[in-house]
Amino acid sequence: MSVPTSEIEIVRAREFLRTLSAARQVYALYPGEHPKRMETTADLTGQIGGLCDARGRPVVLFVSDGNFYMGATLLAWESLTLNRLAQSMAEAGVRSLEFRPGVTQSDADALLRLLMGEKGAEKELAWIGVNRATPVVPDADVSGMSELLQSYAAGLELLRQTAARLLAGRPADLDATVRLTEHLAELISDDPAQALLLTTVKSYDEYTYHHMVNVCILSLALARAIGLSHEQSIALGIGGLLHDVGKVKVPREVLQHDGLLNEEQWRLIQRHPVDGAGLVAVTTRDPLHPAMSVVLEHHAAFDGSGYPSLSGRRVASLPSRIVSVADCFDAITSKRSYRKPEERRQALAILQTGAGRSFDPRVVRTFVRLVGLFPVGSLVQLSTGEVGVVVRNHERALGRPTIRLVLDAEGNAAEATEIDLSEKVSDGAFRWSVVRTIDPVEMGVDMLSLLASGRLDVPIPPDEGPGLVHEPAPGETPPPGYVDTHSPN
Amino acid sequence: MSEGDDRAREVAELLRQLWLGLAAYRLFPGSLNRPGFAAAVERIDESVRSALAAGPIDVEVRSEGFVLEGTPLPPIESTERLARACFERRVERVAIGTVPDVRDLERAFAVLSMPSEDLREQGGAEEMLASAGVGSIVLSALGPSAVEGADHEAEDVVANPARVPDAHVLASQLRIDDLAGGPETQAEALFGRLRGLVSDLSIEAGREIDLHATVHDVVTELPAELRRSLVELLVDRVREDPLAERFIGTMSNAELTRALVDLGRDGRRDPVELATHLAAAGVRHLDLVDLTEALEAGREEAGTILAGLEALGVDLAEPETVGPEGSVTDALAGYLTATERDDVRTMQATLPRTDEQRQTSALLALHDYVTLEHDDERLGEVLSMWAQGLQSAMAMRDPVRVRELLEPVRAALGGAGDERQSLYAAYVRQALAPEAVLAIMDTARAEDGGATVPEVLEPFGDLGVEVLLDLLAEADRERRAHLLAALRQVARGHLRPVVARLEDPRWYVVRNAANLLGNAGGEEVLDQLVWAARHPSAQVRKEAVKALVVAGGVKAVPHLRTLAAEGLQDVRPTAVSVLGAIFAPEAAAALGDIARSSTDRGLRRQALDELAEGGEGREVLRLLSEGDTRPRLPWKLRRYARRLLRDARGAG
Repeated sequence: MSVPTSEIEIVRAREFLRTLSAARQVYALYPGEHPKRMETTADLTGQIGGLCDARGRPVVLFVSDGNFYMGATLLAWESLTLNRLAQSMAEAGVRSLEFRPGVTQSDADALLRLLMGEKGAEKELAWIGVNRATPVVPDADVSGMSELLQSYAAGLELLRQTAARLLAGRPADLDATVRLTEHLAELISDDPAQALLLTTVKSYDEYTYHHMVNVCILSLALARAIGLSHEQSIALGIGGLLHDVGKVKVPREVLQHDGLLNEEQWRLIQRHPVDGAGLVAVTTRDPLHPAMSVVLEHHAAFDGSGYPSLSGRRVASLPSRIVSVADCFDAITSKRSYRKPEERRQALAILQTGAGRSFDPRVVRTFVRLVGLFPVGSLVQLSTGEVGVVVRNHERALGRPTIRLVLDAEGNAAEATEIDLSEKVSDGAFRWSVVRTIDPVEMGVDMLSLLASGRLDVPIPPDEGPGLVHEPAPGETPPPGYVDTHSPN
Repeated sequence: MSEGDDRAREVAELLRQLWLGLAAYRLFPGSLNRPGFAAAVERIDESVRSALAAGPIDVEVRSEGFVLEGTPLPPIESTERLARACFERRVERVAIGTVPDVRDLERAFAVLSMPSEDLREQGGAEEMLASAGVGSIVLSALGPSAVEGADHEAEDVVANPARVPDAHVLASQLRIDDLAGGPETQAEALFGRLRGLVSDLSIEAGREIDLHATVHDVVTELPAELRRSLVELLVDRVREDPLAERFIGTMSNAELTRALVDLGRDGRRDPVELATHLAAAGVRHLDLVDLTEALEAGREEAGTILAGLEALGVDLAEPETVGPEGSVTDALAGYLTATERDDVRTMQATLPRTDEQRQTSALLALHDYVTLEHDDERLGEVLSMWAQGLQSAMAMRDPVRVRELLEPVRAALGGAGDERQSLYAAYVRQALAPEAVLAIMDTARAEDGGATVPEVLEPFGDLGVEVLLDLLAEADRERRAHLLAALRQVARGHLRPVVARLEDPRWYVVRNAANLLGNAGGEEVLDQLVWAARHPSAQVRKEAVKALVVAGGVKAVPHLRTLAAEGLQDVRPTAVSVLGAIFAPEAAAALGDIARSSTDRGLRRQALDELAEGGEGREVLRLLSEGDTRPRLPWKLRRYARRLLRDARGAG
C-alpha cells in the first residue's frame, strides 16, 4: 500500500528537485569551500526540512527510466526538464534518495559531491539514505511513449546545450543533433500517433526549446506522410529541430514582449531566420546543408510574402514549407506572453484558412490528414458527456479518431478506456460523436502527466494501480532488490 | 471594355465554374444527384452557353493558368487550381464545342480526379474521354509548343511581382492612429480613407483580390470597437456602396462569419440577422446564415471546418453540399481522402531527385543568405567554408561545380558596395590559395583526361587571373611555362588585371604581362603595349613590341611604324623586324616609308632587308630601287635595294 501524497508535498518536492539541480551546477562551477557552495547547501537543507515537515515522515524520491517520482506520484515536468540531474544521479548509481528529518548542510554537501562523481562522499551521509536498487521493478519493456519522452527530454537538453554553445561562440554539436533526429525519426516511423501526442507537451518558461523539438517531431511525421527519403527526412528534421536557433541572438525581453513590437524589436525578430541559417552553416560546416535553407525559409510564405524576402519572390523549398506548417501549428497551440494558446482544432482551422497564402495547401492538407480533423492530442467532449484525448487518427474517416477517456460525464477521472469514434450502431449511425473540443488547461488536464503515466500509451489493468513505483509501507514485504535505508546497518 | 475583354471574362467565368464543379464532384464522386453537384452543373451549363455565343472555346493550359488566343487569362485562384489539375494530368488544351450534359461533365471530372499515372496508363485524358463517347469536351495534349514556358514558373513569378502593399504598409497609409471621435465616426473616416487609397493604387489587373485580402488583414488587426463599427458600416451599405459590396464579397466565409459573430459580441447587432441581410442582398450565399448561427452557438465544427473547406478549394456555395448523411467534417474528410494521392504525388514530384537538383535549392538559399547576412563576422565564417568547398571542386577539376558555387555568392556580393565586394574577393582568394592552384596544376599534368587548369580557373574571372599572375611572379622556370600557358587561355576576356601589371615595379612581371597581353588580347591592348615598349627595361620593351604584332596583327602596323621612328634606340630595329614579319601591304608600305624617311641609315637598310623577304615587300622594294617614290632613296640605298632584288630573284 503506498502512502498518499498531498499537493503541498508535491509542490515542495518539485522545488527541492529544481534547487538540487541548480546546486549541482553551482558545485560544477565553484571549487570546495567557496561561499557559493555554502550558500547553496544551506538553501538545499532548508528545502529538505520543509519537504520532510510536509510529509511528516522520511521522504523517498525515486528515479526510474529518467523520470522522477515521489512515492507513486510521477513528477512529470521535472522528469522532462531536469534531464541533466536525472542523468547525473544515474551516473552516480543513485536510484532513490531517502531524506530523514535532521538533514544537515554536511549531508547536502556530501550528496552534491556524490552527484559530481565523488564516490567516497556517500560514506559521509548521515541523514540521507542512498538506494542503488529500484524499489519496485517496473515493467521490463520500455513503452514507446517512455522512450519518446526520454528522447524528447534529450532533445530539450541538447537544445539548452546548443544555445549555451552558440552564445559562447562555439558551434553546436552536429553529431548529437543528427543522432537525436535519427532516433526521433525511427520512433515516429514506428508509431507516428504516439509521437504526435508528445507534441502536446509545452512549456511557457522554456517555450523555444519545447517548440523546436515539437516542430522537429511534426516535420518528421509530415515527411513520413509525404514519403520523403530517409536522407531528406533527416535533413528536414535537423532543420525543424534548429529552425529557431537564430533566436539565441534575440533578447529574451523581445521574445517575451507583451503587446505590439516596435520597429526595432520587429526587426530583431525578423532577423532570426538569417541568424539561424548562419549558425546552421557554421555548425554543419557546410553552407549548402539542406537544413540551412529550411532555417532560412521557414517564415517565407507560400505566396512570396513573409520574411525574409527571398530573391525573385521564389517559393521556399518543400522541406521549408513543411517546417513552416509544423512551426505555425505548434506556435499557435502554445501559450505565449502575448496570447493564449489556441486549441489544436482551432489551430488546424487557422492553418486551413492560410492555405494558399501563408502555407502550401498541399502540405496543409497532408498535415490535416496526418493529425486528423480532431488533431491527435486534442481534448474532446463526447455526446455522452465524457471527455477524452484523441490518441490516434482514423486513416480514412478523418473526423472519427480513436480517443482515450480521461474524465467521465461528471468530470471525475475515468478509466483509460479506448473509444473508436468510427464505430456504428445497428441502425448505421455513429455510436459516439464529438460535441466540442476543450482547452486542457480549462479542464485542469496536464497532458504531460497523462503521457508520462502511460495512460495514453497502453491500457492499464484496473487492479495494477496508477503508479509505476511505490515506497513500501512499514511492515510491507519489500520487493526484490530493495535496500531498506531506514534500518541502521 | 473591348470585345476581347468580354470574351476573356466569359471564358474565365466558365473555367471558374468548371473548377467549382470539379470540387463538388470530388466531394462525392459518382453522386450526381447531390444538390451541390446539380447546382454546379447548372451554373456550368449557363456559363458555357454564354461563352459559346461567341464561338467554340479553346484554351491552352499552363501550369499556373490558362491562355486564350495567345493571351493569358487573369490569374484567379480557382482557375489556377483547375489549370494545375489539368497540367498535372498532361492536359494542355481544354476545348468545348457544345454544351456538355451532366454525363459528359461527370466523365471529364472523373478524368481530372484520377491519379496522373493511372490516367497515363489508360491512354491519357483525350483517349479516355473519346472512348467514353464524350464529344462536347476535349481534354488533350498540344505538343511541345503548348507547354513552352511551363517550366519557367519562377521566372514568371519574377516578371510579375505583386504591387499590392502588405498589411503593415496599408495600415500605415490609412493613418489609423490619427482617427478621432467615437467608433462610428472613426469607422466612417477610415472607410473614406480606404476608398481614396483603393482609387489611388495602381493594382495590376487580377490582383484586386490580393488588395482586398490585405484590407481584411488590416481590418482584423483594428482595435475591437473600431473593427466592429467598420464591419457594421460595410454590412449596412452593402446594397448601395460598390466598395462595401466588394469588401464583403471578397471576404472568405471564415473571415465574414467571424466578423459577424464579433459584431454580435457586445449585443449591439444580431449576427444571424446580419448574415440573413447579406444573403438577401445577394452578396453572399445562404450558407453564411447557417455558418454564423453555428459559430455563434459555439458549434466549432461548422465555424472552423467550413473555413477550412473554403481555403482548401472546396466550394460550399450551396448548403446542401453537406448532405444529410454526413456532417461537414465527413465532407471534408471525403475531400481530403480523395485528394491524398494527388497531393502526395505532386509533392514528391517537386522533390529533388538528383544531386544537381538538390544543390539548386541549396544554392538559392546560399545566395539569399549571403545577400541578407549583415554580420560580417558570421558571413566570414560561412564564406570561409564556402571557399573550402570551392577548393574541393577545384581539386576535383570540376569547372561546372566551381561555377555553381561561385555564382550565387558573386551575384549576392559582386554587385554590392565596395566592402561587400572586397569580402567576396578575399574569400575567393582564400579558395585560390597558391598551394591549391599549384596542386591542381600538378594533378592536371600528371593525369590524362578531366578538365584543364584553364577550364577550372576560368569561372573565377579577373580574380583567377590575378592569382595566377601572383603565382607567375614567384614561380620557378618549369612552373612559369605552365602558368603562362594557363594564363594565356584564362586571361582572355579578363585583361584588366594583366594591364594593371604593366605598372608593377618588377621588370619581369611587366614582361610577363606584355607577353600575356599579346597572347590573350586584341587591338584593345595595343596602346598599353606601345606604352610598355617605352619601359626602362630593354627586355620588357622587346617583349612589348613582339606582343604588339601578336595582339594586333596588321592593326599594329601604325604603332610599330611610330615606334620605329620615335621609339627608344633598341626598340626601333625590333619594330622594323616585326613589321617585316607581317605579310600585308600596310606593313610593306610602312617599311618602305621607313626606308625612305628614317634618319637612321642602318634602320633604312634593315627595312629594305625586310622588304626583300617576299610578298608585298618585293614590289615596294622594286619601286624604291627604281627611284619611283617620293622622296627618292639615296643612290647607295637604291643600289642596295637592286642587289637585294637580284639576290631574291636568284634565290627564287
